[in-house]
Amino acid sequence: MFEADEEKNLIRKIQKGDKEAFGQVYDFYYDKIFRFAFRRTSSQETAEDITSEVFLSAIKSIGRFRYKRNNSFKAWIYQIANNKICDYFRKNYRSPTIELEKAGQLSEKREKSPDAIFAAKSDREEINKVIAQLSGNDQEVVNLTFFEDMKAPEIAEILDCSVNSVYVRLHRALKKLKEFLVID
Amino acid sequence: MLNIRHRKLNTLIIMSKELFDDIKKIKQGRKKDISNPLLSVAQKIIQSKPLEPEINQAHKQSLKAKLEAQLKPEISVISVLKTMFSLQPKNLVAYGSLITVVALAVLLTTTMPGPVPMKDGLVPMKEGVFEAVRMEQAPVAPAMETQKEEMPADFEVALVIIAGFGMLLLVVGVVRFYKLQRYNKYKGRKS
Repeated sequence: MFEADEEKNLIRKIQKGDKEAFGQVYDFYYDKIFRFAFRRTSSQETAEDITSEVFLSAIKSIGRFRYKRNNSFKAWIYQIANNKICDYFRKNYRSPTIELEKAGQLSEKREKSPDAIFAAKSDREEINKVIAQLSGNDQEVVNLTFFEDMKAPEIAEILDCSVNSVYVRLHRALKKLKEFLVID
Repeated sequence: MLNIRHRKLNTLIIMSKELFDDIKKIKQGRKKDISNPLLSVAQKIIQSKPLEPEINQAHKQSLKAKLEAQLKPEISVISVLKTMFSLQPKNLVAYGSLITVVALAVLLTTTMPGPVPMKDGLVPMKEGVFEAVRMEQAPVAPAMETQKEEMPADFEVALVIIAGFGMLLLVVGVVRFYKLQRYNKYKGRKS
């Protein structure tokens, strides 16, 4: 995690064409953006394609990026990712299911006892299944809040809405999740 | 009716904000009391580890190399123009009008013709004075510098282009300003 000033310096260096600074920022954000895309698309290949598009767009327009009042580079790059994901769904919508399970198996390796594996897997599968039932907007809010550890103003900037709207969307998403969990 | 709706919305916002803060506390391990059913859902999500697919290192490195090759400092004229046109509408209008006014002012002051000389080389200074001088047949005053130095044609053209560019900025700014206003109005109506 970069400090705010450190990140500002790195971005300024990237704008001047510094490859080392770019390498640092890229290494830090690649995994995050890839996972963010994967959680929405549930396909490794699509997530890789979206990540490529995100960084290509970012490198093209990094010269125009300016630090204003509350914005951050993190919010800016996530906003690009969010737009790319929306574009992807607009072009070819399909319901996400199959590869979520595959990914669950991939991250299984770190678990230890069989009981723990079973409990964690069933929990995760249930949660993933339920989150996938939410609408696109609600999924975005839940993902950004719980898995990306973002603050409300950052989420608001990414989703282009007010901070209060973020609070209310999350509230409604959790309400729906509660209903789904009870039904399931 | 509207007041009731506002009050309901305010209550919802306050509740949602509290929920968001509580989730933050749960994440940090500071919240122990989870009696709220929504918080228990939140806790369940937090406890269930997120999906972590393996990162394809080959893709990561190849993309990095590709991006590094594209990394160039933006100092071209096109990038300057892009930056100018990506300004906020009110700034576009301000800069556009300033550039136009300055360019036109320079253009007009430098191309305005000087005082017109008379046939005998006299130059009318003030009303009446000229007549008096003529009647007394005073020695002819040396003719004033009647023409200012010719401005190079290239400079004139450059000024016209700058003024045109300023006007373009102004027009784009005004159009974007109205579009933004309409968009805000639409968003306001929607919410």
